[in-house]
Amino acid sequence: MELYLFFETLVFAAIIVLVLFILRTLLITISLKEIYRKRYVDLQNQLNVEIQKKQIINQRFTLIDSLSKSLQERIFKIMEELILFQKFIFEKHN
Amino acid sequence: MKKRLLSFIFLISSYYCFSQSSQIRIDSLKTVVSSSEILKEKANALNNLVDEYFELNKDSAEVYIQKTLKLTDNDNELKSIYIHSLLKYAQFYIIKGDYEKSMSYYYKTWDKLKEEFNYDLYTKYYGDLGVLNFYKGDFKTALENFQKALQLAEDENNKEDQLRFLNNKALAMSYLGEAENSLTVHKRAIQLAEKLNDSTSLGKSFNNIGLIYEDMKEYEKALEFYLEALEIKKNGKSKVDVANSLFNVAGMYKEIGEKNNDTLLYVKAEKHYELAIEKSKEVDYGKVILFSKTGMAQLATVRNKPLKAIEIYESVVEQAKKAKDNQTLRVTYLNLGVNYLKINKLNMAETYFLKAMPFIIEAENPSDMASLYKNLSVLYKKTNKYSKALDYFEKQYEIEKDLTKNSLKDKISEFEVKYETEKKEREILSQRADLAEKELHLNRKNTQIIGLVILAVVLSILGYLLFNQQKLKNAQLKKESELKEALVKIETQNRLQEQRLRISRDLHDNIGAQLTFIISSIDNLKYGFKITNDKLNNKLGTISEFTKDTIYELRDTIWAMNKSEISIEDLQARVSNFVDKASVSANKTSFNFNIDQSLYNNLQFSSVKGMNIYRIIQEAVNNAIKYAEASNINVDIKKELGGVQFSINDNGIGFDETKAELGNGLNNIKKRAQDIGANINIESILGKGTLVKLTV
Repeated sequence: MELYLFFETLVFAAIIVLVLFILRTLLITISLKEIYRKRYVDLQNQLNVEIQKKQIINQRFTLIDSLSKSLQERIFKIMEELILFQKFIFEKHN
Repeated sequence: MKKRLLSFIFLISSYYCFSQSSQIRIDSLKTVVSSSEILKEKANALNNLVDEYFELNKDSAEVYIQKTLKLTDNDNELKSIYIHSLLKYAQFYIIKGDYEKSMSYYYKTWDKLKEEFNYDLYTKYYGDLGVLNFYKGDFKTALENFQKALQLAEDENNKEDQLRFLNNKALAMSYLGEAENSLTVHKRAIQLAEKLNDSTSLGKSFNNIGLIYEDMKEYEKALEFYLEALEIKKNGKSKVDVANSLFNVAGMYKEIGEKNNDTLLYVKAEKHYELAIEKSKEVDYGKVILFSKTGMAQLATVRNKPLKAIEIYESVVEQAKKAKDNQTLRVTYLNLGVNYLKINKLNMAETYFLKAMPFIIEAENPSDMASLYKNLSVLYKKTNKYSKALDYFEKQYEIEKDLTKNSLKDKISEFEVKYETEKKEREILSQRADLAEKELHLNRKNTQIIGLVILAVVLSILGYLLFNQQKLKNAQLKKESELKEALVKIETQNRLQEQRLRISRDLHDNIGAQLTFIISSIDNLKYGFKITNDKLNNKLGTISEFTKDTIYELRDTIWAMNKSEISIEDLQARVSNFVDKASVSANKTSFNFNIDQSLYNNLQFSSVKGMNIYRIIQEAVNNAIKYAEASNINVDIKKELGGVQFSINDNGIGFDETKAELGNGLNNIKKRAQDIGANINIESILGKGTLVKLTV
């Protein structure tokens, strides 16, 4: 009888302890989810910032490319004009 | 004859069930008696010594009774001890068989007792007096006394005493021929004994049932009960009880042996009688010694040894007379008569029969009466006194007719059935209790199983939650690592690109410096060598102007590159700056620059988009100045449905859209608009001007 009561009490106590553990685990899981979400959002924001940064860099490259192309044409034209000018001076002096 | 002996056995046993024997106890009590100076303590010790010795040694018991009486006489405080000792003394004489002396002590006891009520002493008085009456053959008075004692026990609610007096009462009733009432009382006694789990009393009850069977002449059954009673009593402490039971068993062996003419059973009976005598001598139990001798004499009678029987009976008569034991005298006289009749000593037989008669009439015992009448009838027949013989025969017939009535047998059977039924009911109840216990056990097991199942479920839930938590952690780590990896990758790429961008910027800064050097060199050349040739001068001027444009373009691009986003204010400032310059170079042309105020702070363009918008406006204004010869140019920026509209409107010469081929300028405008995903609309009317609408 006493052994039975002891066993019953033990099982009951174990159930209570485990239920408390379950609640604790649930609370920890909920808080972890929140922490993970924030960390994930932070990382995502960082990534977005980097992506934006990349876009800006790409735009700058587009500008640089366009400028380079334009400069190349212009410098070529300036060089051409200067060579023609040289040619004209040499022809005149000869 | 038998019946009286058996009843005696039962009743006397009631005295001894409470006595205790222990040498250690006796020694310690003696020490108290010799050393104590307190009278009460001493009296109590003496009283206890009486109790201790009562069964062990009757002589010592008597000595201590006398000492107790002497010590407690005339002392009011010790009155109860004094009365107790008187009762003990009376009881002592019952055992001794001296009923007259015993009675005188009961009278003395009552003189003291009547002054004040005391339950213990009153019940003992009535109970013991009843026993004395019983032994004296006065069953009626015995019954009255047992009833008084029982009433007191019931009033006090003392179950043990009730049981004792119920047994005695039942026995007295059965001796008075009140068989039905006796059985009812026996039934109560058995129930109470079972309830109290009192094996001693149960033994007595078995003894009584045996007695009834014996009366019914069902000796086998009676023997069974007597043997059971003997077994129970052997486990007890009372030697008197054992002696009584041995005597009973011997009697039954004798009866059955007689019935079956079995010599072996006679031997058994003789052996048991001898054992009973031996046991009785140990405790100086004169009554059973007498009765056993009587039994042995009966056995001799049965075995057709009348002379031996007469010898034994005559020795018994002396002792019975001495003890004034009417009951034994009655039986002995009767049996002596029977034996003398057997050996045809008719005068002697008649003498003994006539001696037995007053005792038998006094005892009102029908079976002895029948036996006496039967033998007298035979005797008178033998002496040719037929009239007397017939008279006694008729009397015997009448009594035996009453005795053989089946009613008693029926009642016993009914009683047995009732007893068995109740026993079975108790068994059923016991089984029910067992079932209930088993059910309880089962319920407990179920509860345990449920508890364990709940425990297992809770454990599983906990396990699942922990697993889930771990899974969440792993998934998070995986996602985070993927993101971090992507982040690291993109960061690395960005750093690399920025490095490349820095290099490009340095390179273009260098180009800007070189272009400035070219302009400066051309200006030096132009003014240092004083070139008069107009063609050369124009050429140098064109190169210088073109180089300046290149530098502006470079600066514009670097401006756009330095901004991650271009706001409408930035764009306005840049366009205003350009328009100012243009208005300086083309002083005949008037410029109007309008911007919708609601666009401020709301609009941001990427650097590429801002740069292209700026280039489109620049190209459109240049075209209006250079080719359209416009005197008025309006630049408007306003909010439109679906975006922002930039419109450049001049009042120049215009061109025919259907005929004119688009030059590099207009093509560039369309290409840039296409690059930034904007709508471009160019409307021109000859002589009226051109409108360029850019919707972003």
